[in-house]
Order: sequence, then C-alpha cells, then structure tokens
Amino acid sequence: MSPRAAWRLETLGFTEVYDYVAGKKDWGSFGLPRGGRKAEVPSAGAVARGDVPTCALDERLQDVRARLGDWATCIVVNDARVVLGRLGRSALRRADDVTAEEAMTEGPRTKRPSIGFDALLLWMVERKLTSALITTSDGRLVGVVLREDLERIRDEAV
Amino acid sequence: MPTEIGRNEVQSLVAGGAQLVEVLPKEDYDEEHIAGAVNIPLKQLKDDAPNLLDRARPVIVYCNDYQ
Repeated sequence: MSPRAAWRLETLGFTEVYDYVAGKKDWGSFGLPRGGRKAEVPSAGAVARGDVPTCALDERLQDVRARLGDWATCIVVNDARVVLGRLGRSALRRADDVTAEEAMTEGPRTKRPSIGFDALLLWMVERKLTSALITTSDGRLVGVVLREDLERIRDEAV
Repeated sequence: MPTEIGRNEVQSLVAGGAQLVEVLPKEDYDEEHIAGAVNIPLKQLKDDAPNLLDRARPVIVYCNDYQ
C-alpha cells in the first residue's frame, strides 16, 4: 500500500517522498516509540531485563557460571549481540567443562519487543515457560522477560 | 521517484523535519502507529494530503509491512 501512496503523493506535487517499506511491524519489532491503543499496554521490550548474562560460543562453562550471579540462564551471542543459543539450568549444571557452544540449546524461540505483556504472558503460561527471550527482528538480544514480572504487572493492573 | 528507506533513515529524516504519514485506514492507525505519525488513509490522500502536509518538507509514508 505505501508504494502506491508514495507515487500518488508525487503526482500531487510532493517532490521529496520516501517509502518506509518495512512499515510499522518493523518499527515495533525494534521496540521503537509507538502510539495508539496497543502502545498503552506495556510491551515485552519495556519489561525485558537487558542485564541478562551473555557469553560467547567459545567460553567455558565454568567461566560462565562464575559470573552468573542470581541468574539461572545465559544467552549465547556473537559480537553483534545476535542470539545463537541459550544455556539453561541443566546445561549450566553440567559437570564437564565444555564450551557454551557444546552445551547450549540451539536456536531458542524468541519474541519481539512489541508484543504486549498480556499476550506474552498467555503464550508463556500455555507453554509452561518461566522466561522468554526478546530479540529484534534481525536477531539481536533485547533481554529476557520473566514470567513473575508479567504476573506482577497483571496483578497491579487489576 | 519515491525512495525506499529503512528505520534508521526514518529516524534521521523525522529529526530533520520530515512528515511521517500512515496510509492505512483509521482503525489500524488508532490501534497502533509510529509515534509522531499522522494518518491519511490511501483513499483520502488526494483530498487530504494537500491540506495536511507541507509540500516544502520531505514526506515519509508507511503501512504495516511489505504489502
């Protein structure tokens, strides 16, 4: 639709017309500012914890474990923060000191920052998940949303 | 000829004074739109654009995605 609108504007005498072809889905998937009814609902991007630990493929599990603090997960990323895998509880408990690449779950499922907290909570409950990974549409890590955070937002809204 | 741009260019152009226009129907705009955008549905472009937009400034149009 936007290409037709752009061309139409040119015929109406507008001389500098641009077409943002990826549109508002792309915009929302990067957690950029939005307006409208949906924007009034807290989004995953707004509640995601960006301080979730990350590690590189070649890091050894004992080094990763040493800096996890209270976290029970670690996200495996590359230099551009693109998500490559995830180390969950069982992987982090492994006794053998392998690399993150050897222990991680490949291609973890992710959600976009623009999804509303209510929709994300429903998705997590249906799948019995306690956390969800949030990435931009080009795969870069935004953070992790904890189910307990979503439940608290829901309870406070009642 | 209209120029296709990405989100980084959108942000730069808007910061420089470009006008951002969602061309979807009003109900779509009311549900969700890019912050700062105005709504001129495609069918109303001919009648409303000359009144609502400044021809001297760049205009960026968008809809949902590649549709």
